[in-house]
Amino acid sequence: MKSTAEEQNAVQQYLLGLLPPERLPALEERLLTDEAFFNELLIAEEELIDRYLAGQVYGAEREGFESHFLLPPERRKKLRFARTLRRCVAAKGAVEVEVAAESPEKKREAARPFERRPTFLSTLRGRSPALTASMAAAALLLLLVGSWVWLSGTWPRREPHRILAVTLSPGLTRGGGEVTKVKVGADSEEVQFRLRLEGDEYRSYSAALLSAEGSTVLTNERLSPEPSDGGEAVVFRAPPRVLPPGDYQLKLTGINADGTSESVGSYPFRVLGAEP
Amino acid sequence: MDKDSALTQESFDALLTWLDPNRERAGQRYEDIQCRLIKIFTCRGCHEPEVLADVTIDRVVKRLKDIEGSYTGDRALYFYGVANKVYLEYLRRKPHVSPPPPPKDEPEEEAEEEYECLDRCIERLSPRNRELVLLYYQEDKGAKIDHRKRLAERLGIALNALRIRAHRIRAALQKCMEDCLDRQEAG
Repeated sequence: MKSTAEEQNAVQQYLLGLLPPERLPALEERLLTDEAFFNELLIAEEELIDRYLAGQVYGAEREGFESHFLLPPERRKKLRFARTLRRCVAAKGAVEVEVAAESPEKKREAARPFERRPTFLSTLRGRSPALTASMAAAALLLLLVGSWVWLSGTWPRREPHRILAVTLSPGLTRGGGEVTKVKVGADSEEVQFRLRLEGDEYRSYSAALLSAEGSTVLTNERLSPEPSDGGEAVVFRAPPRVLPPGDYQLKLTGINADGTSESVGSYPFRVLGAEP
Repeated sequence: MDKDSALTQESFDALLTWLDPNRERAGQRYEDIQCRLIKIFTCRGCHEPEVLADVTIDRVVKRLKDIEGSYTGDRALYFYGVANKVYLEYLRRKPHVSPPPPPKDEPEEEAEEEYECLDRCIERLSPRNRELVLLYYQEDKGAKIDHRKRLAERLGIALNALRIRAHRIRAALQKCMEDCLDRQEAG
């Protein structure tokens, strides 16, 4: 949506009942025919309410706000909601934003090197004792049979496919200097970057791996979201050979149903060198 | 002003066909026009804007046979012309309504219920949306625009795209909070 400061100002004046009558038809016709402009009006309503609650609406605007804008019950509901939102954000924001951006636990979580899988014991928690006993017995039997097969040499001794899984959030860190650090082991065969999404709004996604200089190293097309940690993420796969130590970012693009594309976000990270 | 709706299934189907030959797109277009008419009447300070929007749509339906073969241009603008006439009639018979009292804080008990509901709704957001909403709406002592520009840069999106995202999350939060309050009232 293209929105200039002049447009935003005209919309706010309209909402306050202060727009000159000769400008009404053009603005209202556009509201009916231009979806983006209509959305601009909805956003302007919220911003006007926020300015009012912050004590930043004065004089004729304040009068227009109280005597015109607030006439519909729907707008009074919005005002009440905005007041509650302010309280919530003030109470939660100061604490949670710090935690999200700076807690070492959160950083470890974001840079988690390997996919977390539930352990066998964790799957037994919360089940009935009888079921737990049956499952434990079955597991023991499997273990014994597996050990016998392994020791007798009949099982192919193949090393598992080593995947380094890294969860990335879009550049939402304070100070701009904190990026997720990734250490690519010599035994890794593939690096999977799980790019967290705020919602699945697109038909598909594409992502480009960019070097610090901004050149494209690798692209993945036609990506679909997958469940990840209670939300959704797009998985970008890269061979370790394209990731020598340095700074990178993954640029995620959403593809709409009509084939147009929009930038969804960028996910910065740093690949560390091997320790001596 | 007409009170009885002219909208029968047959006339509604004709209206949809006039709006768009594709039934699904026509339905969406109808809803968009209705929603925007309500908003326009609301912005003009009308009471019962929904009723005025319905009257406008009924009038268009009644004239459909006369115009469907000849009207050219954006269909929504035809609704706008009719809406202006409905508005003028409304002004002539506008009921006197006392202006509402200036807004004041709601009773403490209600405010607490709203707070608790909203708190739960925020917790239910995805981590990213929660973080975005907390960062976007945090107070920044007069530097809000700069603060939001920096946030948009960190997210790698334009400031306007950030405004739209924040608006969507906020609208969802308001609905979530109101649903929560309704459930509490019913229970």
